[in-house]
Amino acid sequence: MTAADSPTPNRIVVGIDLGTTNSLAAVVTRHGPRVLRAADGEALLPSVIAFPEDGSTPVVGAEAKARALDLPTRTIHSVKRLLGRSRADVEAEASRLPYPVVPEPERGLARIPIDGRDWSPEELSARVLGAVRARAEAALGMAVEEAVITVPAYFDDAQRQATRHAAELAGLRCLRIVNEPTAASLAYGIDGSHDGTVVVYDLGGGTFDVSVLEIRDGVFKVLATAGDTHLGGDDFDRVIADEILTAAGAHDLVDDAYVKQAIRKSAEALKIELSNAEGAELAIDLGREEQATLRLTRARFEELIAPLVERTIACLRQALRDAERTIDQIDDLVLVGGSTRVPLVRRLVAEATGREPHDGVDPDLAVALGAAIQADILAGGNRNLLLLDVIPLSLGLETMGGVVSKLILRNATIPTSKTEEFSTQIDGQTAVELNIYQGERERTADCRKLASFRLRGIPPMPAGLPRVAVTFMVDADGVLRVHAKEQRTGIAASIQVVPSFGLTQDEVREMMRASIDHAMEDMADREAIELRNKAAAMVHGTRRALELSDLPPDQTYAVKKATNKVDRLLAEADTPADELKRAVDDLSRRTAQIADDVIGSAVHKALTEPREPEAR
Amino acid sequence: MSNPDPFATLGLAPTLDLDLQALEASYLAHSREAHPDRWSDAVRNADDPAILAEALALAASVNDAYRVLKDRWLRAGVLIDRLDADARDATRTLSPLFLAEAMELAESVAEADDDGAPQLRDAIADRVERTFVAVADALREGDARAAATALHQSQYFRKALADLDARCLASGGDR
Repeated sequence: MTAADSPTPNRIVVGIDLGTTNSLAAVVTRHGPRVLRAADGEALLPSVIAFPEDGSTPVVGAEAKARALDLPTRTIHSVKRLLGRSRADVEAEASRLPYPVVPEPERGLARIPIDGRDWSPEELSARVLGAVRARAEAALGMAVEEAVITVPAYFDDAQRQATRHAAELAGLRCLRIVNEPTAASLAYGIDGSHDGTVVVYDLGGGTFDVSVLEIRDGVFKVLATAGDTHLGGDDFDRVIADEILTAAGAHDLVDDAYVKQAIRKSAEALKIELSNAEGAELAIDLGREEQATLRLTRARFEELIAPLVERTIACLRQALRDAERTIDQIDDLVLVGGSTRVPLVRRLVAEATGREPHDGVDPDLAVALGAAIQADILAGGNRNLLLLDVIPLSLGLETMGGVVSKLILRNATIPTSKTEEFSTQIDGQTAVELNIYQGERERTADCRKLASFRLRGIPPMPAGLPRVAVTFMVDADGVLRVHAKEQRTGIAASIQVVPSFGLTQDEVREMMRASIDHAMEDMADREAIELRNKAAAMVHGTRRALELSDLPPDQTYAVKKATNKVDRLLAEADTPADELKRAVDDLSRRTAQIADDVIGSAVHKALTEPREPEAR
Repeated sequence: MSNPDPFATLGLAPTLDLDLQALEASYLAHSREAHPDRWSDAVRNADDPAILAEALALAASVNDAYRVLKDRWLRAGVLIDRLDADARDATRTLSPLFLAEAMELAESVAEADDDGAPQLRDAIADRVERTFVAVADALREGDARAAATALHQSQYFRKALADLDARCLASGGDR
């Protein structure tokens, strides 16, 4: 690097693209963003860690990748897919990995055992970050201590936290977590000649994101994002691997780590060949002088991966709907990630957007270059750009009956916050537990549980009297922070966060699409649950109110009768919704006049409040 | 609640008939000040977590004010609260006559077939618009309770519209 290429002095903040397959760093120089290359000119560092058998220091990068066949169970790739995940979450893919993945005893988090030591995905990612950092330091000739690190836009809270922890373990101060498609849009739009509505389609080795942005006068505003954190080029390799196994008649060999690594390697090579040629051939050595040949045409390959690519197109349509943009309003299409080299991907995305892909952006380098631009903004080197990003998945609280009440809707610009008031249900209660979920569905069972928050230190008061204001804040990294205060006394309630990763990955993957498919079913379920909740609250509230009220006896009798009827219907699990509704309406009419006087507005509100329709 | 007035946050005159370009310009100007990317190192590296929390709360309030004001219904809600903080709570109980009508509407949405859906959609969209005019008229006359009642009623129509659209989407086809 020449002197003129030197980065802005005083402070070095690098941008790092921590990828499933490859990682790299970039920095902004006086001549714009530049990738930091190895001495041999190579930009991409394979995100692979190999543990030599003699127990010496693990190697990272191309050297590790080269050892995959001779150290099949000790060469770790695609660790990004395990970040912030439990072993149960990754069940489907763990069986295909040549290396073992085991659950950690406490919360079942994914761990990789090597020579009797369990490695966390954070530690392994830290090894990759460390190698990227060493390469950056060699290229710059100075120490690197601060970085901006990119993550898939669709990463949830846990995955973002895990990435931050990996940076910490690598001795890097992570100034910001940036979404990969947003970073790519910065690299694309930095020269100011691309104002308009842009779709960034990012299909990497293991993750998929699509974002719709509006770029104008240096403001990069993300309108909507959608994606799938478990869909990428690895999955294309997998369908080819299945073809190889079939051709070899060797499904029984699938448990052998060496065979798994060999097949994975061959599948990747075939995929790359098929992106440039109409057909490819693979000679498979079956041992004992036997050989099998697999001939794969591009047409067959495309047939195999079409369902996967269709899933990305559905996400793309979802993002456009959420952004309230039509195809006609798209000014440009930017493709990022190595998997966008697959011709079928290019073709289907071009069809779905009515645009030919912009070709001024290198799909392997754009994310790192964009991260470098964000790093420069944070280091104070660029005051002209403003980046407005969003939260990819809604955050909600569990309410009675397993329903998620949304607090923050997906695609809200971050930072964003919501304050809600909670009270107690039992006299003298001093703690409240709140369960927070991320996802789009109505039922807790269909969303991912992020954490339990235990509010403690609430002053003992009669039930319903404490008013605990809980503020849910999503910071600029897309990570949730929570604090709470009791309003009457001003006492800050302490919060204990118990993160949990309880869902399988399939469920997370299904969340978005399913939220559309199941919209009707959810609606009916939710209405039924809400009706029962409302009825139960009314029975309880009315009985309390009757104790306190001095209604004339005839009215008291009528209200009691109506209350008992609702109570009786509630006790029967199979009461038809309309019958319960009639009884609730009847009770509602009879209690209308006492509600305001006696129960107080809070209960009245709970009895009668219609729900806000969800913003779309 | 404790949330600050979004009009005040963005320095805009409170009106339902908001100039959306002015809103956008004000939002971006405030973002350039408050966004975490623009924080000075003094804030970013502050030892006192309260300083960081306050800066974050301000940045969030700018985004949240923009989100609220951009949506005409949420904007109307803010204006009603400004007139009479209790109006929305006090008007939650809608007349049985209206509720019966809303129920009927929800049923027709649930039963709508592909042929009838476009016509039904037009009819509901018309109800939504008329209800908005009712909110606007009431606000103009300073009648917070009437505006709040119409706003509550609008939720049923808007939900019906969203449900109908979700159904059309679920039953296949991109509009």
